[in-house]
Amino acid sequence: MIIDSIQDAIGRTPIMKMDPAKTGLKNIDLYCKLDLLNPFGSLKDRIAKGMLEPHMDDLLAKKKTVIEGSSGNTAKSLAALCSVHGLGFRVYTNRVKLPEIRMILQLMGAEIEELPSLSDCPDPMDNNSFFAVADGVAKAEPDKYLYTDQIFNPLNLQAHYATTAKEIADDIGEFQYYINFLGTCGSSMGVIKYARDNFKEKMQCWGVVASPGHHVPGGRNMNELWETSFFDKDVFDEFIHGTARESVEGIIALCRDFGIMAGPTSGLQYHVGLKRLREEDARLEGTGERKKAVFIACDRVEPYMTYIKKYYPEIFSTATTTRPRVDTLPANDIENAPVIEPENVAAFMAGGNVAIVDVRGNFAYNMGHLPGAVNILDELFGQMIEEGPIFDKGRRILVTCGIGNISRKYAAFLAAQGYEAYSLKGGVNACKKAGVALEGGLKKPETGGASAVANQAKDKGYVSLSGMRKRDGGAAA
Amino acid sequence: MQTAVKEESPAAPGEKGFVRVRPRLGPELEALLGSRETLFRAAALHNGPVHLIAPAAMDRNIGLMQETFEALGIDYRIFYAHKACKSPALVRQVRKNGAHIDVASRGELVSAMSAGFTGAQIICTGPKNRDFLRLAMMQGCLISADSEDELEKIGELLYAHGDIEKVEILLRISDIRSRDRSAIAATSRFGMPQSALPRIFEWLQAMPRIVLRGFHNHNDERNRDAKSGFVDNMLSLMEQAYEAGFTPDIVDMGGGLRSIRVASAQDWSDFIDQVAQGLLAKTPTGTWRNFGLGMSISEKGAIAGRERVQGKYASDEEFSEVLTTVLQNESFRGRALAEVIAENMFTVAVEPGFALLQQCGLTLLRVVGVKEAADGTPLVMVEGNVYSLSQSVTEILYDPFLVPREDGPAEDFAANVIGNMCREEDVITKRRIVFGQVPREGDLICFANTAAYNMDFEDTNPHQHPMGKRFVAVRGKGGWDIMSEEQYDPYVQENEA
Repeated sequence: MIIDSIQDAIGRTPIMKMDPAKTGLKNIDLYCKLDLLNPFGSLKDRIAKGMLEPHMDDLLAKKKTVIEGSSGNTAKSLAALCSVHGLGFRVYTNRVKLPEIRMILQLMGAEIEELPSLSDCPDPMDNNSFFAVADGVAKAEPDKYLYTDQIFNPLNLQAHYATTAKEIADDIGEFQYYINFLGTCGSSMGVIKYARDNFKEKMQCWGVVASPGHHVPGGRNMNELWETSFFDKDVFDEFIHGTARESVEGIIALCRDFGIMAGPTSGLQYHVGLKRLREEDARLEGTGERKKAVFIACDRVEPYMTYIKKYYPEIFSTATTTRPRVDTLPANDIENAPVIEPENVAAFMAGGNVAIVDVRGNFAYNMGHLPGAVNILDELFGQMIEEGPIFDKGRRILVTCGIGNISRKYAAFLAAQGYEAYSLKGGVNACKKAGVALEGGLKKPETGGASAVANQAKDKGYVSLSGMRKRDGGAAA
Repeated sequence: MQTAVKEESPAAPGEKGFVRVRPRLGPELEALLGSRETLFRAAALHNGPVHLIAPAAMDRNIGLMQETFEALGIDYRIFYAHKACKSPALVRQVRKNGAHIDVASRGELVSAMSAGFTGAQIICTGPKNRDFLRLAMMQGCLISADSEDELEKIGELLYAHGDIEKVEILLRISDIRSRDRSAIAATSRFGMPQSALPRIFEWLQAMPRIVLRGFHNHNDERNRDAKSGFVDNMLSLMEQAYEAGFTPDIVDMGGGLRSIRVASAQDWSDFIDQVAQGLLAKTPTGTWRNFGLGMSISEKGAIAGRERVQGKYASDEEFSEVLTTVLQNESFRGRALAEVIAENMFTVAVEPGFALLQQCGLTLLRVVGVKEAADGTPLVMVEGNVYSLSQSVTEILYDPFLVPREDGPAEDFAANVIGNMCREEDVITKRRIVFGQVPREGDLICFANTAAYNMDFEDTNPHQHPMGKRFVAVRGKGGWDIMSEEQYDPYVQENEA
């Protein structure tokens, strides 16, 4: 298949029949529309194309910049399409929540304008919502900007109606259950409208939402659905809530059981949707009826590693080496690591053959450390001592940090390797409080040195700050 | 354009009826509300709005904040924001709990001093005149300098006389921003821009008697990542200051910590839904004159501004949780902020107002009578006005309680509570409140959780109505003791309790 532009690779994604041996469904065929296979990694490629296409000649002629309020997949798709067409793209948002998404947008050359988010003491006169700002920018200079406005743009819903929904129906015919995660609601409402217009039989529509207080990137919870213009509560037969952790459980199942490397919204749809489908499946048992269910794998899993790690850290904590590691030390060992009290530091050092390692950042080390301490940042020190010996066995080692919590880990690890190693109890902070002599500390430069202002102060006793402001070209007080 | 909703129809309850938004109640307020006798005894002490302070709640709030910082393993200073309530009883309670105090005027400084705070335990914030500055400097208070102009005043006062040896300052920053992003805090009218720092550093180098202790920023930002980003910005400023030869040690995060005001965030969301849907459908919203809480209908026919009101009471986040996640965020070059703060031996300062005053008080307004508005809306008239307990017309939107002198026939009675001022805007509850019986003259309407920024923040006495008066409620052996604020001494009362 030869294509001329990456844009031509958008849509026409395959639909996969999920192996019943893995879903456990006997009377329902579950299908997954693989929209994660779109070129920029999500179903939003469709709407980006749909929202830009009618304006493309104008955009190119005037070299317009496209602006959008999305901070997720839509931004990514628009950034890619704008970039290949030589158009500028700018995102207005009140926070890009995922670091990977920010990096992808930066990689694609998008501008990111972050506006203040919400205050606990809202000022009713403050009109700076990011939608309003983006809209205002586009309205002020319509020849320079196009605001795609995905949450109000009817081309969003239209793109899903004309492509996503139609492709599914063309491939599998009518289906009876539609499990859909509610975010901007463009795909949900596009598919629902298509089914209403074209299906003979009524389609059950289950809206999946994040439980209150839970964040599933790309989605909304019930309290947030008012933000989108497409959402219509009445078309849904029921709403299914799911937690952030359940979304990751779904991701794991999709990845490991089916090789579908999809993101959190897909994971949650699969996880809670399947639970609900199993009830229906049991109800259909023995009736001889056979039904079809569909969900869309909306996007790819890669940008969500930070998110997955946050809600399912155990996946990433598996040790991959047989060598002893600092972070697999039993908590008990760390708790019982040998310590030196600040008041005993002098006696310890007097004993000789001592190595002191300060594992804090360089900035902190500069400000004050135990005399003779070398500065090796904690993670680096950890790697070094895991690799192999860096001290003579007879050396008495004292590990120090700010408050004695981090150093304890390394002292315990070294002690377990047979070293005479201690952690400084309470850290350098406790030493400072106990009056233990520290080395380092950034000193104030001598006043009255080279600075003209300081010389002037020496002569007159006082220098006017407003005079200096005038000197710098600012308004005098 | 938005067409006006028909005014002649009374605000109809809608499908769900009038939504109830129940306030969160701490144990002291719950107990006080359960004691009708106590409330009437308190109300009888003053012929106007009565504010009851429950200082015991503050011990819990301060304790929780102290525990939070202890668990984070960092040095901290909690400065209670005096501006949130004038009550001297609460100032004494702060002193007893070992917290420090933030004062924003000469009057507040004097109040702090008379509760026993020494200069070293006081931070002065906000814009300051010479009068305030001089007293603060003489007492040795930490001063958060709000502008270059104010620094100049500090310099002049210090160098004009020899009686003050030195002054310790923080620099308040107005344009705080995250290091790696363009995100900035909302435009603030407090503080000075970072672009002025090179000049200020140069000046301070020539002024060795002015000691730079650190930086200060206050933001109401709800987003925890953004809050972390702002702390991260201040750590970079600390670094810059060190490079310029100073040795600051205080990172002041300001206040604006979250607090939970309603029993269920869902209540609040349902209420906003009702108002938003009413505005959209141009049907009654269940609020006085279809008050939209600051929401409007955009030209695209959608609700605009909802995000601003949504979060106000929908919070289910304790400040302890917010502080912990903000400071554990690994945003300073991949290291957790708390770690960087601890290892650099810095101290985190905060100026909480609401967070420390939550559940510390309630307000009692005496019912004058009941009437109907021209559109038929039932109204409960009280002695007091919207400013007796509110800093703005949108401030108190959760349900007050009716405390009847005697039980009447049970009946749902949905009414707005109105005040005694001559202005149409003096509607204390913009929401229709569902009372369990029809209020009668002499009954009490009780608003919970009013200690912070509510009970006396804007109180005035239009038409020579008496202003509100505060009393202290302490649980003694034989029940609740109600006393004047002057009589209340936390050291004495604790022994009796």
